Amino acid sequence: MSHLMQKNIEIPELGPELEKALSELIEQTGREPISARLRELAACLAAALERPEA
Amino acid sequence: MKNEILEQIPALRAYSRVLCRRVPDAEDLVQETLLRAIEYADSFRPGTNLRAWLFTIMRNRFYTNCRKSAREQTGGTDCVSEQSRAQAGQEWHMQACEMHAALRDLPPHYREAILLVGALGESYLEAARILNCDIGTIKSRVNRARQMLRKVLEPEF
Repeated sequence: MSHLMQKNIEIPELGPELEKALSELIEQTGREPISARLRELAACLAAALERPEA
Repeated sequence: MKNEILEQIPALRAYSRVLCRRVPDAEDLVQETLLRAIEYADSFRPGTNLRAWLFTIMRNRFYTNCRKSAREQTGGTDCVSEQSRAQAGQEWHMQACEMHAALRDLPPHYREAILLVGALGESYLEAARILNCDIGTIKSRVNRARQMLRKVLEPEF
């Protein structure tokens, strides 16, 4: 987030309670396992993004 | 790069559940997003915001699917009633449940704005790009969503 602040990109403050509730929502998805299929797709995407331009 | 992409999965899941409401549909959307991103890998500029790029693809895919299927993707039952059909391990903390239910009740464009900006930490500028609107509109939507959520979550406010 610091690199965004260095660029003066505006990020709003929402209030501590709301931020906490939203953060918990995101943390929940972060605790869920990532399937083998998603890992496979992530690997394919990484390969595609790292492919040198023709 | 693979790890960088895997790190985006939780955020992609969160955004997909805002769009799709049902967890199985949301998981499908995450997979479709990665497939689409592979197809359009050439459109990504190295050094730019990978997550914002993926969010844009996800959003476009979602609305394309909506138009194709011609059925309502948003609305319908809230997350609380979907709890019994959630996959194992996706139990929500009580406050997260309340937040999720409150998000469900927001108009779709407010819901997207508050999730991107409030929960996922995107700047107004990036959120405006993802949602294809101007910064003033994003600010207005975030502010409005914030007011509505606070009324629900902090009724004494």
